[in-house]
Amino acid sequence: MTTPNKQLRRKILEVISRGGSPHIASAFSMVEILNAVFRTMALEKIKDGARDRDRFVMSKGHGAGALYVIMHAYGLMGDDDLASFHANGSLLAGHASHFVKYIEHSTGALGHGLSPALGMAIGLRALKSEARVFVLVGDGELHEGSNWEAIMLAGHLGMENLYVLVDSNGYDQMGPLGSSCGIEPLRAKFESFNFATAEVDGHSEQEIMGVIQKSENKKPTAVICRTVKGKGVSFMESNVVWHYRTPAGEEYEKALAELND
Amino acid sequence: MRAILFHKIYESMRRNPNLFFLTAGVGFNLIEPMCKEFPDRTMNVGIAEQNLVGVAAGLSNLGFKAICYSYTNFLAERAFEQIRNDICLHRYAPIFIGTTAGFDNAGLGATHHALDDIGALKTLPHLKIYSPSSSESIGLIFDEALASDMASFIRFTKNDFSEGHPVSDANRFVIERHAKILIISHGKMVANSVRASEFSSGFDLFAMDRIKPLDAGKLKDLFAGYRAIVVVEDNFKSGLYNSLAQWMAENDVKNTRLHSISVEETYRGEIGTAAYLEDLNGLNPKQIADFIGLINKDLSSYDEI
Repeated sequence: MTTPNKQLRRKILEVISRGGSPHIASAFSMVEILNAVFRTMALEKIKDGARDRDRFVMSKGHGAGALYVIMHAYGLMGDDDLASFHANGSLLAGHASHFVKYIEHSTGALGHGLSPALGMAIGLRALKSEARVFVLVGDGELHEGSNWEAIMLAGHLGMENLYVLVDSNGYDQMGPLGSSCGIEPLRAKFESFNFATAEVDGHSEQEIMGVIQKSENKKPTAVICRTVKGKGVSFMESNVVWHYRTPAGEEYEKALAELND
Repeated sequence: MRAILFHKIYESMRRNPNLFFLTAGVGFNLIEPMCKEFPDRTMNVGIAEQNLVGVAAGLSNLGFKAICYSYTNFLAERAFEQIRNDICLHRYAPIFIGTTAGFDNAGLGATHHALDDIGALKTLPHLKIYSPSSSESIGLIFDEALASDMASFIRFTKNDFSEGHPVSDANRFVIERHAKILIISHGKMVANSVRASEFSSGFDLFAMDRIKPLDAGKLKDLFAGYRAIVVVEDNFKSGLYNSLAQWMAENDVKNTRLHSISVEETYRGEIGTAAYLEDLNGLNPKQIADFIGLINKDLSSYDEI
């Protein structure tokens, strides 16, 4: 039984507002992606810390608020820990941190998720394990050249156990991506690097799961998830201000009302 | 030195199935047999140092010990943030092996000189730094790094200096004749300092091939036993000299003078052989001996007052 996405967004709103953290719009754009990945992974092995467990790396570490809420929803984090998000003395930083149990890799400096995820996939292949590695990158993050070093090698090696999900909300922290350095056509780019590539509605768990549950490809998989930054709250959607701003007071109540509808 | 190191790596790969060798497009005629013998645990990731270090982090997450091989400067500086965030922050324990340190690639120009690597890397916690000086110490250092639960960076040169006998510690006396002056050196400059003995016998020589963490226990005895200490290194002053200066300040050392023979802190357009660039920076054996002579003279004048 999975938690409805509106309920997850309400929780994200609550923890980000209480913690005084930025990045709520980024967190809202990835809810369905995270839910699809966590529904797909074999969680028992993750809880056991098995060497051949599935792994998830959240390269766009600034969506930590969403990740922690999802982990809480799947029993990987307790109430007290989640309530400490972004507070003094907490391990739950504003970016995904490996000091938090079950988080594989600390990210936040962009372009630092894909190579470690590839290393995990290479290691799992060496162990002849069937476990898989899922990595979530932002589209703005793909400006970082280190990503393309990893994408090039993953395609060359045919890493069928590596799944790269792109939260393609079309924005970086300055505005629409096309106004700084455009990254399209993203699908053609991944395909040219020997990725099995799909383009899906990033707010449809079913569409995402339809791609990542298949494993017959002898290539790495890229899932370009077309999303809306700030999805779920009308005044946050595609409004870059909410990359930075923490909802409080009337804004908080208004957002909560929309998510209660 | 490189042949000895690779022999050690091969032997270790045979014994330990958890070792994983990675190179960033370096090691022509060295890594090919390893690729054949250990195809699942040897990989050339291409000329991509950031990816090299990131992949090593991912392998570390699975419990592998990665050995990462590239040129010293590209590994230390191109991939600096990956070493910081993906390795040191996570307290992973790969071994970074940087070849062609110092002026090894002298003729190729300033982009290929590794003179600022120690100063950059030593700012990072959870990272050991080594600069092996002899055929004997490089094997010992590799074994130490292999056994360590902390990441290690080994920067080495094409130098083939042999001490002629096994060594038991990365930090050790190479020449001990109870002089007033001690040279502390590492890497290739230990060989240059040994050759300085052809021109002067006025110094002892201590190889400090383990640069970080500093050998605090031995430093106390070394600073107590000499009137002056001269750090000789094919690096900027931000290297070992800077670490020793900080150690002196923190330990309130007042009776020993600290001097440096190091590379001038600039990026030169002028190229040449390694020996030529060492000459320009006062690092050849005769220049080292002359510097020792000046310090000895200075100490004698002071004694006469």
